[in-house]
Amino acid sequence: MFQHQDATVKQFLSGVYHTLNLDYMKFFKMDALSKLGFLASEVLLDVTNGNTETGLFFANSYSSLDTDAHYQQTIGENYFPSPAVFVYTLPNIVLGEICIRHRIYGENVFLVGCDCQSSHLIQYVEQAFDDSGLKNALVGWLDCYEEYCNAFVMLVSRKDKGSLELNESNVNQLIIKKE
Amino acid sequence: MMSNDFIVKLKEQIIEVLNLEGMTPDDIAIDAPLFGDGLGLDSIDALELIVLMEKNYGIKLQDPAQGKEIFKSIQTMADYIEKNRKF
Amino acid sequence: MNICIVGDNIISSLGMTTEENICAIRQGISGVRQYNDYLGVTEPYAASVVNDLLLASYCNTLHISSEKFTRFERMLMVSIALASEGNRSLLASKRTLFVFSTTKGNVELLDNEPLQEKFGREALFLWHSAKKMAAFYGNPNEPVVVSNACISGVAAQIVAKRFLTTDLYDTAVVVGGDVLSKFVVSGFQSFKAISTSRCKPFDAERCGLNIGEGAGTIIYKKIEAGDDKQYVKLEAGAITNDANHISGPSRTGEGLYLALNQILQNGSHKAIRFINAHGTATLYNDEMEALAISRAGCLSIPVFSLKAYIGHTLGASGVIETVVSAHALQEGFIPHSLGYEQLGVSLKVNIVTQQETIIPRGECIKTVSGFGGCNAAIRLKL
Repeated sequence: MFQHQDATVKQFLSGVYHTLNLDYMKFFKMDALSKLGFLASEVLLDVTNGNTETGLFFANSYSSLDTDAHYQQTIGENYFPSPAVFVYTLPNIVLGEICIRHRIYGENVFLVGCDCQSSHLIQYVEQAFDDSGLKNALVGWLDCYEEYCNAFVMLVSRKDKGSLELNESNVNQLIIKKE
Repeated sequence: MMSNDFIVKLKEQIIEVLNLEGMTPDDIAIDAPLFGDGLGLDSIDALELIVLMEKNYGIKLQDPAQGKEIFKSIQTMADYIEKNRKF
Repeated sequence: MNICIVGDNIISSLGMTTEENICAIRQGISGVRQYNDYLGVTEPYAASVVNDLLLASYCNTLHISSEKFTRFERMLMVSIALASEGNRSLLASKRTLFVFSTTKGNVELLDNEPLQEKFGREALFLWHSAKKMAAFYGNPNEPVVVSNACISGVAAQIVAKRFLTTDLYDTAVVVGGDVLSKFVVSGFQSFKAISTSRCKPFDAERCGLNIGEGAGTIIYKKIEAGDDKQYVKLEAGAITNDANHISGPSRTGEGLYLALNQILQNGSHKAIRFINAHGTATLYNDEMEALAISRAGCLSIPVFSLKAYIGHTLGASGVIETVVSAHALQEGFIPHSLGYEQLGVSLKVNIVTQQETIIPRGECIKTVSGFGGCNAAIRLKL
């Protein structure tokens, strides 16, 4: 949906923020991974009044390595550990940011795998819909490292018919279409 | 008498360290509350201000509870730094 | 079909086996010590550390080479071996899934060029580390890696339960682990969250957590109802979010309350023998937990925290502490909540002040909370 070859990751993410006309000052305190996931959720979700029926299921390959490297710099020769950076040295914080923004209290899981076509995430989400009262889920792949970032996110809802069914082969076809 | 330069510099440092995007020193009143309704800073911001005081002024704050009084406003923070700075 | 614990292991400062750990806990022994200028952190802190000589000795016996595997990996691999009691064919089966839980994996390599040279930069990827470990045991499936801050260990069990509900797997090997590092200690110190002495969960004088390192393994197997009487079963689990703040716990205990509510839905409070709380001994966490426990109608249920015995073992904690809970049910005891003397939370939670003997039967709850506002709870049954 958004693409920019020449901008830095920081510029790209700020650019999307302004394109979406957002007014959320906390955005600028987030690390790149959280900004990426936050923006994806802005496109797909509405702010709700307290929602236990929406889940967040994300995966990536870099975990929080990008922010880990930033935090490492604050505990080098010049030792001043930064709490604001440290808190983002966990990949699931992006889920927290999305939950805060959209008042989501439901299930939130972050997996780390080697590529976005790996099946675990989709299989897990299918099971989660099967055995819980989940009505909607934000499902996707969010990866960030230095000057690379990539997000592929879907809004999945429980429906009787119509629309595209959630299963591995449909998802993999969607991913290939976007490459 | 505290120099205006120091106040401006302190505001700039705070804006940078707390990622207050788009804000300039003129946007922050010297007496305005930093927490709660004012700039809306939170607990992590308070911890970062503790780091700022140590990094830029050599002040080590062991008890974060002291922060409540010190970080009430730019004025109270500047006063505290002036009194306790090591460099 | 029920999801049953058929094997387990704990590696911590208290020992390399579940038996050693349970024995120490029953005797009120703590593995937490004060460290000054350790791992490159000059500010003193209390922590719980795995004995390297013991780890090396087990690695030797199990042919887990320190040339090929990092310290983090070796801890988890020894844990897997001990939990499976040498059942290599179970570990190598196509119908067995490995589910790993870790917050930082090989974080020690981040500022260590020689270690990165030795093990490769790819060791920094959690999935790569997981793949290596599963492959050592001959498992053909891509492992699942759960990285959800401090709830990872319980979240991984809930994830495993879901995968076992599919037709693809009969067994899930859930392994949690994290090592003590300058990275993590300095980070929590920047939050002023670490105590310099042994922590005091729920106590009036509590002043922060102890970081621990360790590994825990639980082997879950699908067993027909009726054949499963002697096993502790994973009955229910829930993961929620406070939707409040990314580091501070919710002032209403929202997320944890919702998780407790969900797992108590089909069961009765009366069957719950104890709650093994997260109890990190920070000012806010313990208060939040007490509130959530109260809101869920569980004030009369005995509550304890294990953090003063083995510290907060991060990615390992959810797994290790579930193993203790399962054995407590099986052996018929409720551990003393070490470090607690006087109630320091605003609700009258029923903290276990001395070890209790109970009939080895019934249910228990394990709760966890973590950065990112996440919470999780599981209910076990014997």
